[in-house]
This record gives sequence, C-alpha cells and structure tokens, in this order.
Amino acid sequence: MIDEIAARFPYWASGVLIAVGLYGMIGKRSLVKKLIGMNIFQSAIILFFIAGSMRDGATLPILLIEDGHILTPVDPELYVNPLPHVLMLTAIVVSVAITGVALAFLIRIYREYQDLDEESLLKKVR
Amino acid sequence: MTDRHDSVILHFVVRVFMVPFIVMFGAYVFIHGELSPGGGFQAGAIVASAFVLARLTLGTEHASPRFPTRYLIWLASFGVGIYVIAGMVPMFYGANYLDYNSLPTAWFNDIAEHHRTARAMGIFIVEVGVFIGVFSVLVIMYDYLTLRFREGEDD
Amino acid sequence: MKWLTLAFLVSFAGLFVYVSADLPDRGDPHAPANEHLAAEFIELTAEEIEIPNIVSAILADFRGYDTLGETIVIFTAGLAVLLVLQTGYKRND
Repeated sequence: MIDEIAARFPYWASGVLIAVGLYGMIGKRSLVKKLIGMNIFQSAIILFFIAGSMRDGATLPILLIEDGHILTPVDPELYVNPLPHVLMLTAIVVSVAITGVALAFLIRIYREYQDLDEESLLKKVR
Repeated sequence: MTDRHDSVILHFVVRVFMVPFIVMFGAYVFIHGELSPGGGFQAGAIVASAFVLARLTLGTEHASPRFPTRYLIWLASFGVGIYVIAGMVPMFYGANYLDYNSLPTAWFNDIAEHHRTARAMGIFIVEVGVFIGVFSVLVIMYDYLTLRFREGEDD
Repeated sequence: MKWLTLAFLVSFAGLFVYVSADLPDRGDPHAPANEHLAAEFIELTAEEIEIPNIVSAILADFRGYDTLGETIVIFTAGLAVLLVLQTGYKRND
C-alpha cells in the first residue's frame, strides 16, 4: 500500500496542481489571476515530466569522471533519463517568455481601460 | 517601483556583496556548464537576476548609466546571431546546418594542448549565444515592464 | 456556476489520479520512456562529444534545431514586450 502511494504520489500531485491551475484560468475573473493559474499549470506539467524521468539507483545526467576522463564503459542504467530534463529546460524558458509577453499585454490593457476584470472589460471593449 | 531607495546599508550591501557575487556565480555556472549542472539558459537567468536586483534597489537610471536599455536589444540580436552563424559555418565546409563535426577547431586544440572534440567546441559557441540572448531579453523585459505612462498619474 | 466549475475540476483531478494507476511506477528502470532513446543519448554523448553534461550535449547538439527555435522564441518575446509597451511611455527618471 505505502509502496503504491510512493510510486504514484508525484503523478497525483501534478494532477491536483493541473486542476488548481485550471481553476485559476476558468473560475477567476481577474486576468492577473488567470495568468498565475497558467503558470501553476505549466509547473504541474514540468513536475509530471521530471517525475517520469526518474530511475531507481540512478544519479544525475552528468557522466562520472575518473582521473579527468569520462568513466568508461558507460552504463546507461547509472543515469536518469536526460531527455525530459532537456525538454523541461526549454519549457521553462518558453514559460518565462509567455509570462513576460502576457504581463506586457496586461499592463497595456490596464493603461487603456483602467480595468483588469474580465466581464466589465468585455463591456468596455464593446 | 524603480525609484531610487535612499538607504546607505541597502546600497552598500547590494553593490558590494550581492551583485558581484551573483554575476560571478553566473559565470561559474556558465563556464562549468559542460562539467556540472548548468549551461547557457541557467547562467543567463542568474546574471539577469543580478542586473534586475541592481535595478530594483538603485533605480533603473542609476543602476547602469553606461549600459542602458536601448543597447540591450542589439545585444539580444547579437546572441541570436552567434547561434545562427555558428550553425551556418559548417555549411562552408560541406556539412549540414548545425553539424559541428566539421567546425575548424583543430588550431584551438594545438594552442591549448588539450583534446576537445569539434562538437564540444560547437556546443560551447552555441551556449555563448544562448547566454547573451537570454540575459539581455530578461533585462529588456524587466526594464520595459516597469516603464511609466507619459500622461499617467503617479501610481 | 462556481460549483459547476469546482465539480468539473475535482472530477478531472479524480480522473487523473485514477488513470495514473496505469502509468509505470516512479523510478522504474525499465519504463518504456526510459528504455531506448535515453540509453542511446547517454552512450553517444560519451563516445562522440566527450563532455560530461548529457543535458548540455542533447540541448545544443542532438536537438540543436530545437534550441535554435527556442532562442528565437525568447528573442521574439523580448521584441514583443518592447514593441507593446514602447509607444506612449517614457523612461523612468
């Protein structure tokens, strides 16, 4: 039972975080809170991938060094899966870019309409 | 938010103890990016955080009067250009785009008397471009997100 | 409306937890995602590139096109922030 929970816990955590982020994006009226919900959603996806890349008994995806040379022969079982780390590194950078552009749009909207509430903003835009 | 905050202790601690060490740590993360966790993206974010910290406490105008925002977009273009040109150089040696195997790096191995493969050299060059691009874009984002409206009331 | 949203999201989280029973265990060395391509990348990094950091090797060499697009995305985001906020604003002083 406890093994089952330990083997699944990161997936459950990322599922709950996805729901929290979706609630921020769907249920809240303020555009800033929607943006924060989107960031939580992206963090949940990153957590899901990183948890999936783990291997028991493995270490960081940095090749071990002995006397200034890479330890050969290389044993792939000794390192965690490096591919999700690479993908999530690029995903983090894209999320920073998205957040910056979204904040720029929010500032511009606030300067135009003095408002960031979704429903009253829709009335003003019309 | 970007006003100068007149506190001697804050200025001293930020300028002497925090910004230089954060920049040095960013340089460490970048140079050791091939031996330990690190690389262009991470080091760019760390160095940009040092610049943003200086701008938060000292004010944007006072933080770096000789390094203003309008030059940073040129720097970002320069970083992307390093990447694109490093990808194009192998095409002059008959290889594919971004195929670092045919980069002419043998002379560097002779000078340094240390064997590095051409692909490792290509990775380093590309990471330089990524580092410059990420660093300058993050500082650009901070600077323009904290601009003030021209006719605006004080907020 | 609010309760409808909450009910939808709670059922979504419950469905996610239920479906995760079919995912491979965390830390399983023989999970399908960790089996084929990962070992290939690790061995190729040691043989052909000879730098210890596998993540840097994949990021800049094996997936070089991806990172090129990535850098251009970042650059475009900086340009977008600059162009959206530039007009009608003055510098701090």
